[in-house]
Amino acid sequence: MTLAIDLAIVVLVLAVAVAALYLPDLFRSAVLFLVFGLMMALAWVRLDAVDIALAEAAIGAGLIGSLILKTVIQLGSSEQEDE
Amino acid sequence: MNSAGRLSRIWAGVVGLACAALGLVLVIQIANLADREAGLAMTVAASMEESGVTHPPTAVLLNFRSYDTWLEIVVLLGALLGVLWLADRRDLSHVKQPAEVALLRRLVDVVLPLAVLGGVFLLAQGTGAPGGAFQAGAIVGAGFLLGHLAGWQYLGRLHHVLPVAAAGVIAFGTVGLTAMVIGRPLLDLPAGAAYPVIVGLEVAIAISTALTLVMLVLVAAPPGGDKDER
Amino acid sequence: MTPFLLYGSAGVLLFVVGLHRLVTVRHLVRKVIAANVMAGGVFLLLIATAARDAVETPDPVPHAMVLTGIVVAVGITAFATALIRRLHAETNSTTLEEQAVDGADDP
Repeated sequence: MTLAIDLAIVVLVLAVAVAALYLPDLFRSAVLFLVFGLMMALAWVRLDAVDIALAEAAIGAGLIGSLILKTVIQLGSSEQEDE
Repeated sequence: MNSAGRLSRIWAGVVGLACAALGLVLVIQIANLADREAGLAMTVAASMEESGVTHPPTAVLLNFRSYDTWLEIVVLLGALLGVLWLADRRDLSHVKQPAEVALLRRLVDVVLPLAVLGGVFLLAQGTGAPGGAFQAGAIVGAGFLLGHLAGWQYLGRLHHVLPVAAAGVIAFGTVGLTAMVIGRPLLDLPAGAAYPVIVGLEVAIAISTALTLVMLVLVAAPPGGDKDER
Repeated sequence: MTPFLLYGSAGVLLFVVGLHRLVTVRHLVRKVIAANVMAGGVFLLLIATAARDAVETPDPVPHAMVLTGIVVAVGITAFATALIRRLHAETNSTTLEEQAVDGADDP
């Protein structure tokens, strides 16, 4: 039973990470990276690392995510997407 | 242009194969490691009484491996200095203030005191339960960032408080060099009085981390002001 | 399949996928995202090791290392994004490709 939860969380983390890395829309990538940070926080809780979960949710997802999002917005929509 | 596109696709494929091979090798190595019972959990548990706190990660961060923590906040301060240098303005006049939205302002009026309360609570219980200085600093900083987004005008005052961002580094340096002056190793905490020193260091770290994190997110703007702040 | 094997392999996968994008993509913000995903993978492997070595509580030394790593990651990401913005302000580009700049001030 508990392994099923772990498997679900791992699948979520990997899916969101792949989506954040490979989607062509930069804004969507930035938001998905923020979600990736929150999924990692779930994984930290499962691995009995509550301090890391707090830090990841606040700093990893919140602050790094908002830094990247801020940069993406400021770069503006004049950017041509390139692969 | 077409051949360049095909070339980059081939390059991406080659790199993908190499990365997949690397991943396979690493996963096999991890499978080999799955049985080993090693690590420092026993060593840390044996030394917990000397550390002055009851929460093992806090003891490791602020006593056993405090040198790493000191260098960590030095890196954070260095990032802040770098961002300020790139922004080309020491004052924060180039950061655009979002227009005040009444509903958001009301929400922040409730959330910001809760964030500060939550941060202080995490800081206080960090010596005995999950929490600690960095988490507390991040949550208080996030509260202040929300305040900025809701239209709070505190950037002018923030500029004058800037040297407080070095408080953590200075506190660690003071404790560490005092230990060396007395004749003990760098950052060697006194055996009986470790707890108050750790609490003092945590407070310094929390305050300077909160300020640094707020500044890092707010200040990173090109010279000439933000082009389009949403 | 122990939790260590599951989370450790997930960490390796994150690292390898992030590495692929870090090397192949040209947009600098995407490189920053990829580097952060790689860091997350490394942290996942470290914490999985800490959980495996648990004696009543998980091994606290990797916990401290990962906490340090997260704080360093935010500092580095802040500086990197500031560099990207400055580059964009000066050259209106978000890649490091060679530009035909007139009067370039490179030595």
